[in-house]
Amino acid sequence: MTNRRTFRLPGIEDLTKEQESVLALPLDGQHLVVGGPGTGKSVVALLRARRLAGREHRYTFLVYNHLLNRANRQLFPEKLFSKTWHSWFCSLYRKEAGSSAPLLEDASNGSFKPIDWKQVIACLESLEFDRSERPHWLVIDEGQDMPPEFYRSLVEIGFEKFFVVADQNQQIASENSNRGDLEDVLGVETDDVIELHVNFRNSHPIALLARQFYTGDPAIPSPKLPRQGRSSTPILYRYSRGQYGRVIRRIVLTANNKPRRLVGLITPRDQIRFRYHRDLSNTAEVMFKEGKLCNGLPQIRTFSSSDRSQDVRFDRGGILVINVQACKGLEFDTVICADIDQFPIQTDDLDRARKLFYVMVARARKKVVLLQQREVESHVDSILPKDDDVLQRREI
Amino acid sequence: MQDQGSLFIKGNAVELPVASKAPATGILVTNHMNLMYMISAGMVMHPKGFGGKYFRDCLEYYPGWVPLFTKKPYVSAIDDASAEATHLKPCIAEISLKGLFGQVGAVRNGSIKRIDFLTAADSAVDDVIFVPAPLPASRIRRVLFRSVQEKKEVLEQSKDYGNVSLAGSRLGTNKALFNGVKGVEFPTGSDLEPLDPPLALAQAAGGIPALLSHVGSRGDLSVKTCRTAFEPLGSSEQGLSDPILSGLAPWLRDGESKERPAQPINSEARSQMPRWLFWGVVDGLVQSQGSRKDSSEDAILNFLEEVARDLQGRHREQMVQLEKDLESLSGLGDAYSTELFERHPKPFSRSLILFFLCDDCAEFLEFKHHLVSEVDHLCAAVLFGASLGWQKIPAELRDLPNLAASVSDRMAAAAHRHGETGLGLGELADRCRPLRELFDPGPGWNARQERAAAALAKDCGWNCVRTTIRLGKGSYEMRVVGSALEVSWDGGPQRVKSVVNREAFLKSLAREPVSLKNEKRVRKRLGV
Repeated sequence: MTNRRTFRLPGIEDLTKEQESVLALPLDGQHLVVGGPGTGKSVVALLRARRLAGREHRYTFLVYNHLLNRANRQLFPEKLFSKTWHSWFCSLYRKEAGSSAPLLEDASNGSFKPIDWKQVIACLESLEFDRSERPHWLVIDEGQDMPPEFYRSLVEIGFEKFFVVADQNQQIASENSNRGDLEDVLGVETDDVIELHVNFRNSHPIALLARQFYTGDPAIPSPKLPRQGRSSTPILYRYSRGQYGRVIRRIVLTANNKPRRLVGLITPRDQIRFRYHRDLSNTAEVMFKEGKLCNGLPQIRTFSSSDRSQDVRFDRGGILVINVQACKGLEFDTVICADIDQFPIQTDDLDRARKLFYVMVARARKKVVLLQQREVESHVDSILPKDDDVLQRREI
Repeated sequence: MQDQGSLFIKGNAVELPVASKAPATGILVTNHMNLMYMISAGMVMHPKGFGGKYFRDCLEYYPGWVPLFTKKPYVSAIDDASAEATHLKPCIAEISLKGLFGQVGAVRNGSIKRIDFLTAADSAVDDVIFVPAPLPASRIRRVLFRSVQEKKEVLEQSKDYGNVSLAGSRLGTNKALFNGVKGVEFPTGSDLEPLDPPLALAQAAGGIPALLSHVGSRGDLSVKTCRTAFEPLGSSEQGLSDPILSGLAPWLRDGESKERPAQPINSEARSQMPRWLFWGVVDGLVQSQGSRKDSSEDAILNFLEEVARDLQGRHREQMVQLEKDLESLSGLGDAYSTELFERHPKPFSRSLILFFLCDDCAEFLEFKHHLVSEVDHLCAAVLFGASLGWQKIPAELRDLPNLAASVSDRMAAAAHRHGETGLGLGELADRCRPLRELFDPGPGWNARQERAAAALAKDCGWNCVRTTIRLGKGSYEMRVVGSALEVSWDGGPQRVKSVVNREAFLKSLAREPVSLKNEKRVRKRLGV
């Protein structure tokens, strides 16, 4: 059996009336669609891009991070003109303003330097643009993660056709836009914003767990729960250090039994990411040599934004080991939140930790597994639901 | 062609009246969203079948009845069909009524009465008739829109879905028809009692034969099982001797498993266990689809849990172990698939393991494991068919010759049979035959079969063809090129003859999945 995965067009029964009203929006104009994770925002955005391509319109599909950009490009069966917003904007600015986009030198974060929006807008305001020559559609996924100045700059340059999907409860970036910002900058009336309510991606138990971490911003409704299910109830496995090898072995078996599933193993930081990647790869090799893996050696890869050279495949099943910051907007069949006891949790700001867990858990379509070391003292228990119907607890 | 129209009258053959003034075509007024939904579901049906995605139109006026105009439709119906949302486009579907018989509704003295379709319906008198739902979507002959622009937009929108294909539909425009009859409304008085034929069951009655068509070449049992799924009331059921699959025809005929064992379970009941367990699971799957409450996996686990409570000793242990193993497949399990198949050697358990291992039916059709037998595969195909129904089977798997039409007819026939609506559909479309049946080993292949088999073997790379090349007089040069032998001579061959080793061919057909592209190609070569 191959491990090939692809974006499958939804069945007509899979889309709700709400989503149909989004698909029926005119191609021109400015549109804002909001909804929680799993409500199908990215699906309607991709379908819109597909329709624009079908009519041979020029469009760009903008996403927040590189990994999501890769996922979309690999899974979408047709060619998708997809870019990360930051690099796309920098090259647009260079073309329009004739110089590189000004960056904030003192606020650098590793290799990434934020754009100096004050200077950008001042420069763009001093230039004149021929608005009649921009027949270009922008489809923007995770639109809450781009700052309002980004949109203002685009309007200044002359872009008029926007389709933005957003969920402010999933903000991870430091600069971002809330619903009001987006309405203002796109000129969309509050009544014209389409809200998506029904959760499609997650099974009922996963959505139930995600709800425990919902921080309750009323601007974007919490998604309605999908149909019930017991087989996909999230599980917290507590393991002692001596059983770590067994945990690794079980993860490899899970990937091998269902070779088309993509398992997202999400770690709190790089050191743990490296360890899991190394141990999973080595264990898989050994099990393969022992003839235990009847579906062949599963693809086990890792990614970090500082090293983009790695060949991450979303169109193949396997295991992708990433840090929590990289999981934004992605979708996995199974999510394993590794060593949750290692996430930095401050007791005076539990909402921050809840937001992180909300984003991680909501990435899963079919199953969520949390791994916790028994010996480590942690505040993570204070945000985990106690109800066994929401989170089962098992010992390894 | 097979006559199953009389099947709704159990055990009785019906003689059909031949001459009639009954209309040959009916016009359904709806909107483009409902139309596309019904095409994907394979049935023209009542709002209950739309799973919450129904947009108001005249299908909701008389629950369970499809109003069909025989002349120009009412403007009020056209306006209503697009009133619920601004993006709706009204459309008109022409539906063939050929071969229908039984009771329909018609307006008599300002009220709707039940009349006999063939003897009392009269196209000169009746502007509109009311036919019990559902009707096979294959009876839609043509779809008309108000304008070319609307037709184009609907065609474009249909490409957003994985299971709506308007490519084979005749689409047109007719502005005049949409101007319709003004100032006339449907009568409020009606003798039509609400009908509620079981649509989840009908979907399963379509999904099961559809998926069996894809595994129907694995062996003779597969061919028979596939035939039985399409003709559950025919004589072929006697041919199914497998303990589980012998329940297929009764299940399709009765619409549920009626074989509960007596309590306490004795040795006789124990021998029947695989059959009632399996079809009990199928019942659970259909119910979960109908109620849209539990997932298929949960329906199975709940059923096993319930059954285990009534069992004792070794049987109980086995059932609990199976439930545990299936549940572990959705978490971090510690068994690999070979271990699971070894631990559970019977088709009942193995088909469930297959169902839990594969996330969708396309994955299942590709699945190969040396421990999984033909019966295991057939049983799993039944589970997937019951769980998905026809509608959720991906479009590419529905695109075999005759499959959509034959399944569509059988789904509607099953709904009328179990809903006891009183409508007969007449002759049903010929079924889709698996490749193995088309290469029936019988007395021998004809030249067309021989050529098609050789071409398929070549396309699939099967080593079952022996080729003889007769050469004329001359001198031949032979040399080894890589791993091949190359022969050169002046002139061409006198005769090239390829003979397919039938036994080896059928063995390959049973073992190796044939890609849809190759399947379509070989069916074309066979002229089916």
